[in-house]
Amino acid sequence: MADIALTQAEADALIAMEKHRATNDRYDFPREGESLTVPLQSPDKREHFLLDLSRGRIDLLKVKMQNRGRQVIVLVRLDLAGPPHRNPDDTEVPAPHLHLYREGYGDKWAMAVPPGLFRDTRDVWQTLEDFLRYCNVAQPPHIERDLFT
Amino acid sequence: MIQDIQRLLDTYHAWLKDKTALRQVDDWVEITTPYLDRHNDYVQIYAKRANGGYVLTDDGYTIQDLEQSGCKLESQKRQELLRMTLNGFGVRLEDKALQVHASPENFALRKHNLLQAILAVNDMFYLAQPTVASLFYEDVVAWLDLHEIRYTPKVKFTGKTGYDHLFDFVIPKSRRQPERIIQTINRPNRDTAQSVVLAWIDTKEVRPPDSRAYALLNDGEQPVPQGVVDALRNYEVKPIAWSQRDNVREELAA
Repeated sequence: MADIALTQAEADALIAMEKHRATNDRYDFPREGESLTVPLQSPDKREHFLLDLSRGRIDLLKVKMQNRGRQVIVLVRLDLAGPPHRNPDDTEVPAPHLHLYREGYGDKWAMAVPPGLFRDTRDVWQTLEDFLRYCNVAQPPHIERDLFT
Repeated sequence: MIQDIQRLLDTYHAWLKDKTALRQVDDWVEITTPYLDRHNDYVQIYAKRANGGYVLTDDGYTIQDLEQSGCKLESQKRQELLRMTLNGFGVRLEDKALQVHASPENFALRKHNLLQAILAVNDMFYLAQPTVASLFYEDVVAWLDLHEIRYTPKVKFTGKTGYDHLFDFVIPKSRRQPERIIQTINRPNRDTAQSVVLAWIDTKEVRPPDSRAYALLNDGEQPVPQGVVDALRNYEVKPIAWSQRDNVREELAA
């Protein structure tokens, strides 16, 4: 049974671990108010991950991309648009921002999106590609783009 | 002193106001509040005019985020907990969105209720499965300690096959009772019962012949399926529903 607390080394290893799609199912990128959770796995299939995508109903630009490990541990979370974030040291980070797992804090720390790794966060589809690359998803799931992505 | 506190409260009110931001999104007004969710993101709600008053909503974010944090709300017990939480704040569920209607007179109160409901539902994350598993284990530890039942936690035995099996607790042999091995099962189902049975079958031959196995079954979330009880009994693992734990207290304490 998974534990909700990981050491930083364990979390870093999970983030860096190569990930493949767990099925060949096809998914639609979430439309307004929709969400999607897609299973991923390590190449040896021993470690399981989840890719979560969701989009606001009122604000279509409010898109969340998230990579979970061990069912409930948010390893990486990218918030495009949406609310600002306040770190435990009181520093504030506006959206878009990137949450990264930190030992002892879970996903309570976030930082501005690293510009070299994400080309243009206004382009949701391109950002999904960048996010999958950032999370080392070497075999991405089949996700269909929609008109608003 | 009371003046100092009053001054501090005034500063707090000013800060709450300062940290509230408004933005027009189509016919809605987005309200960014000073409250943080469990990710440390500011909680946002939306308001628009409706029926001479206002409708306020979280736009479905709270439950969507909860489900995408591994806390499914499918079970009847969780649905009841959700309903009870929302009822307490007079908040309705509309297509997974938390929603209230407000008049100009009660706008502040209803907005506050919606925010409290969002934060309360947000906390239901702590019901996510692995969290509950660790809490159930902690409950068992607390109960054993309370009743002065002496145990060794997390004991590993190498089975007949050479595989190692980790058991939650071992209570050593006493003058009156043999060795007792206890495994907790947070979600009793066929798979978890099978895994305990296999571990016990492999282990019992390398333990003293009168050694006994117990499975403590969490029935707080949902009732234990009869098949699980039967399977455990068939392989000489004594099933104990957590709600019936007092029935074995003396047996374990001896």
